[in-house]
Amino acid sequence: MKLDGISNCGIGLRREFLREFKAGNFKPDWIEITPENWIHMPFKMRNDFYEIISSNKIIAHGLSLSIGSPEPVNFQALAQLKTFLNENQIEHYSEHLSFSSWHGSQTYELLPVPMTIPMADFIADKIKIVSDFLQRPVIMENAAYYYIPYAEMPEQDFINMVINKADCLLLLDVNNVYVNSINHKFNPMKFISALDLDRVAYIHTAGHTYYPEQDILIDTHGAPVVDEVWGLLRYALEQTPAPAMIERDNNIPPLSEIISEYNFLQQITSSYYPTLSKDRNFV
Amino acid sequence: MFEQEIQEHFFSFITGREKIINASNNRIDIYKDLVFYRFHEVLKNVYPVFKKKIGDELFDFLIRSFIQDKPQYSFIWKMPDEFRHFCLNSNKFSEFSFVKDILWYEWTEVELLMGNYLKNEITPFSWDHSFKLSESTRLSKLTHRVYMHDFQVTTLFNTFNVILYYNFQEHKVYFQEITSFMLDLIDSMGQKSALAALSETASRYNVKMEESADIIINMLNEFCHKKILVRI
Repeated sequence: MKLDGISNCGIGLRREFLREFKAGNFKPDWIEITPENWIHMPFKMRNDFYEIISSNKIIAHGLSLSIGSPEPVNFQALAQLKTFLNENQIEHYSEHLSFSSWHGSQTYELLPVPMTIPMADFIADKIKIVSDFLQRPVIMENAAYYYIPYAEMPEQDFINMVINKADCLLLLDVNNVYVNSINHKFNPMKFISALDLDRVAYIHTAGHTYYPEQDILIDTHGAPVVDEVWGLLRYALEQTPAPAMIERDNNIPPLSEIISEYNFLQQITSSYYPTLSKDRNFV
Repeated sequence: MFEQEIQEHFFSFITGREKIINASNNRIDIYKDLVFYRFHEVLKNVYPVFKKKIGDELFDFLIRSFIQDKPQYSFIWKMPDEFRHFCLNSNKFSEFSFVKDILWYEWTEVELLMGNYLKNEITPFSWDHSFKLSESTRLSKLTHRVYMHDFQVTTLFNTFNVILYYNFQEHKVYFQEITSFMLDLIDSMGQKSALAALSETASRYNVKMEESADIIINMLNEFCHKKILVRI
């Protein structure tokens, strides 16, 4: 499914390279921002930030909605988000299929929800409430998880159930699929094929970290994308040529490294995007 | 809902409110660590001096206790302020009398860096107008000169008046210690003209107004130039 104005390749905007980004000639097709990082930001960054978002196509990717929490939607926080989105004319908004707070008590971490029919109903209803309030569609992302509190169905069925009941779009994070497939031992390609790919709005790729003591992959967004995840991205694009982007939130390298990775993303995706030139490269 | 019972237990485990059975190699433990490191990362950046002075062990203990105590702010950047109040209500600091001061100082520094200063034009000083501290300035009475890395109590009942202000040229936060006379003058300038405030303050301190004016005029000009004081 297409997102208005969003095509080809994007990157996540981070404070660490904001200045360099604004001063340089790197122009990704679109940018993803995390509203929580910019609703409150260092004063010295404000001008650069507003200049960048007013001259680029933007998707907002939230962190604190906590859609799977039992408490009602936090309309106070949502109103702040809505103001931010409206003031900056950001039409597209995505969040995570997870929860992070419990009756107002915060962890700031994306926690797994039980995968059951009542939970899917509950989350779908909340997505509709959020979408109505924000007056824009909510795109839901499949999350990485390291423990399954309870499941009556496979994750792909749960995701399909939620997005169909809520009639919303999916942000497919192929790194999360890969991390989950290793940690929980399933075939990531079969997983992707089983999703309702018509609903994919855009795709995340990112790096992860292996922790040998626990023998687990953690979705750290703190390393370059690995070959296996690039491979999974190709597989996803063969079936749904949605816009794709790179997320990097930790161990943020110089912008030049982000640009190299972006160029590589373009090389991979150019075969699937009719409008993307194979020769375009940023330096 | 049955699912919410599961979530509640899970949440209690990872926030340390319930003990995890068979903790070793239990994947719930991974979430417990992830939550802890999320808080730790933010708090060590906001309170580096506080952390150093009280030591890693107590710092980590406070974070774990704070996570159990149900932090409420939706936006993570404001969480350190809640942590500060949590620490001030803790009984762990009998040997660290400077805690309140350093927590105020380090949090205020961050708060000023994150400010959204809509009105930040310079208003020149004049004796005929009223002035107040700007939104890019904070004032406190501290019992330790923590801003000068001095954590000893110098004199019992002694206080130091310090202002922290955002420097718009360098985008940094600076401190300046001020006298009690200046503190009272600033306070008084909020209700009346600077000249009337000076007259009142000089009289209270039993000093000559003209001499006081000569001494403080440069500082008042500088405060306006640095946007520490703004005209009302």
